[in-house]
Amino acid sequence: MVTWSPVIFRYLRQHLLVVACLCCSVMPGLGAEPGTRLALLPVADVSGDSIFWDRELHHDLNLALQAAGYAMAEPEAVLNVVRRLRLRNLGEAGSFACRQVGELLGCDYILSVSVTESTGGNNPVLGLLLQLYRAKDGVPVWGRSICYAAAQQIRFLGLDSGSELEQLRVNGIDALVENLRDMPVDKLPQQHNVPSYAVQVVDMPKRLLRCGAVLKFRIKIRTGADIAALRLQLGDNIVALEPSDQIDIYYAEVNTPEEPGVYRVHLVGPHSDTKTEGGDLLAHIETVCSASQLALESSATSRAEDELPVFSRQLVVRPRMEERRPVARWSFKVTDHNNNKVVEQKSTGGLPSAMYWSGTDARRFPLPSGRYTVTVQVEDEAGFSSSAATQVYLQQPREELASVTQVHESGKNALLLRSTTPEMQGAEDATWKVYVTDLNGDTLHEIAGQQLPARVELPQSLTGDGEVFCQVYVRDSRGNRFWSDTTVVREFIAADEKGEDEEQKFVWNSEF
Amino acid sequence: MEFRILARGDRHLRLKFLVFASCISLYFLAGCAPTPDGVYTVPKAQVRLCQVALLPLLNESKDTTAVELCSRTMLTELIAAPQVQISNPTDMKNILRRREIYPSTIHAAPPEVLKEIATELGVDGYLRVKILAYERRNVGRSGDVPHISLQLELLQADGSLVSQLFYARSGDEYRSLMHYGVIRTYTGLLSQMMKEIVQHWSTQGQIGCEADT
Repeated sequence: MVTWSPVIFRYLRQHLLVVACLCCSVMPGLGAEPGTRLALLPVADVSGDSIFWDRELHHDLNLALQAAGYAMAEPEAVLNVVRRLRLRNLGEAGSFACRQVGELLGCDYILSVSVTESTGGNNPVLGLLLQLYRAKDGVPVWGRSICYAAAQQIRFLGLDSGSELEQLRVNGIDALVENLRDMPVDKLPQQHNVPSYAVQVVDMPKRLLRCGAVLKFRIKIRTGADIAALRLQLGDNIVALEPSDQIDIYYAEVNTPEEPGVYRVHLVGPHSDTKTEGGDLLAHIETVCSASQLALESSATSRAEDELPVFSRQLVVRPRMEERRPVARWSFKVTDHNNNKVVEQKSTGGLPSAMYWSGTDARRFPLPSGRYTVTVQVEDEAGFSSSAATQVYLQQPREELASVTQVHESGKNALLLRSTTPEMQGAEDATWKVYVTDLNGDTLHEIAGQQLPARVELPQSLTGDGEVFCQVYVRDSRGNRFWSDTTVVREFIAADEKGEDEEQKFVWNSEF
Repeated sequence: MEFRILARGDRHLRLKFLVFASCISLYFLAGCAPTPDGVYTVPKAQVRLCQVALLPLLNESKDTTAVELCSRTMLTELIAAPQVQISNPTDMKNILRRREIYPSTIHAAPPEVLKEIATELGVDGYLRVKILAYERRNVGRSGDVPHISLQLELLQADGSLVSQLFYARSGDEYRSLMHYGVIRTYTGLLSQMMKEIVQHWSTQGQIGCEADT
């Protein structure tokens, strides 16, 4: 006769560890085991389908969990607490809110349920998310996603399909309860630094202040503790929060330090260390004690050092601040040589990287050529103003005085200068300069003189190494100036080949 | 056959076989030899993250509703994963709102800001996710199935990169037999993807809360 007991004992002894592990794995979870008090938050619908059965699901879930042996907080009581704590989004509770819910409802865990997908019709789908938070510190301890699609529910040969959305919902509730029972032991470490308040919004008019100025705060804060225990700290200055007529809204006024720098604004509780600036960081602020230097860069160019920068069609001015600061307002002003304002633009907010002026007045009429002063003024958020100005010469194209023709005469290379408005007053006493440059822009030769000549001869040596570029600068006795367009001189025409017609095609500035 | 040759005692053939086997062994063992210049590659010190916060998701897909579903589903799966501890997501939202940091700018937040937020939340790393594709695709006999493509970055508290992963899956890829196994919900697909991603990082040793032995 075979005795089975030694075999069984030997088997059990050998597999004791395996058996123990198996027993542990099928034991109900100890974290949220039946008997634990749960609060079920209102169901959050993030499916985008505007479901109408979220209340119904909340109710059904409550009943199912109660039937499973959990001590559930009353749904109406949960709704009241959610309203009282003004939880923004359903299903979302921070650590402070979790602790509040836990204290008010006397529960150990908070269960949040979200509906992620809910489509009816021929192919219904359902997606549910479950998140369990520990009430005393708001730590998420367990989560599970449950999803069904009707197409996935079809069993063998289409039997027991259960494809209605309602059926999916029932399945979802059953799965939820089943999953919660299988939840592993809650062994996550407890958080001991759960704040006794939650700062929602911090409003402050500006982040850049003068040294020693008064900084005003408006704070939306939810607190379960005494508000008098909370203080606002900026540097070494600590002030109390002043209540307002609105719920959860408090004000504070604190003096900024006398030294310039970047400071942190903290909300300190009764147990925070004010020396190490402990507590919640609300904002960074910067204090300044003087204005930042402003400089201007313009697109106008000057050929000679003693000449004003000239532009003809559009002037681009780029303001550069020595220190980058938030700008409250700025202005761009242009004045003529009599200091009369011709155009001005004012604006608030950020300083643009470039400002444009096309030589017109405020009504967009072209202004006469002449000297103009461009002034940019900037006021930063701290109230410090700085300004910078630059003088430019506006050259309007309609006042051009000369055109240039290249001619070849008696074996010599020459430029023929022609005045397009010979009878114009002031043209007789014009001073002129011809610049000859190479490909790199280096000046090879300059020829200058009084009275606009009919022709200017170029040295023969200039044309030896390929093409050169010529540009003519003319200033009349009235102060009007112009630059001709740069014209390339590639080769010179032999005297016998040159005709009257060919001469015309070398006109440099036909569009003066 | 070779063993039969050896057993037969044919010395000539046995010698040939031994030479051939030696060559094969040398060929496969050559990779174990040190490099000629004596430089050895030392594995970089592994960073293992335990407490992680999920940063707001950046949505680059065509579906504007993807963010809410994806963030909640990811959070649920991260909470469920035993390899990692996730911080309270609403605490993270409150901090960002208080500091006026918007979801679109958190992906370019400077390291010191990330460090401060990590200290406040008590985490040692972040998970930063970009949704690249979130759509339904017709895959023939399976009909419309969800397709999700993600770019995931595991960051240290100061924003330095620990791991980067591009992960794209369709519901059809999980088919086992006939229509069985096909995932037809976004929630189900994303949940499955997150399980795989967490498992991958855990295998790589980039996340984990158990103490090193």
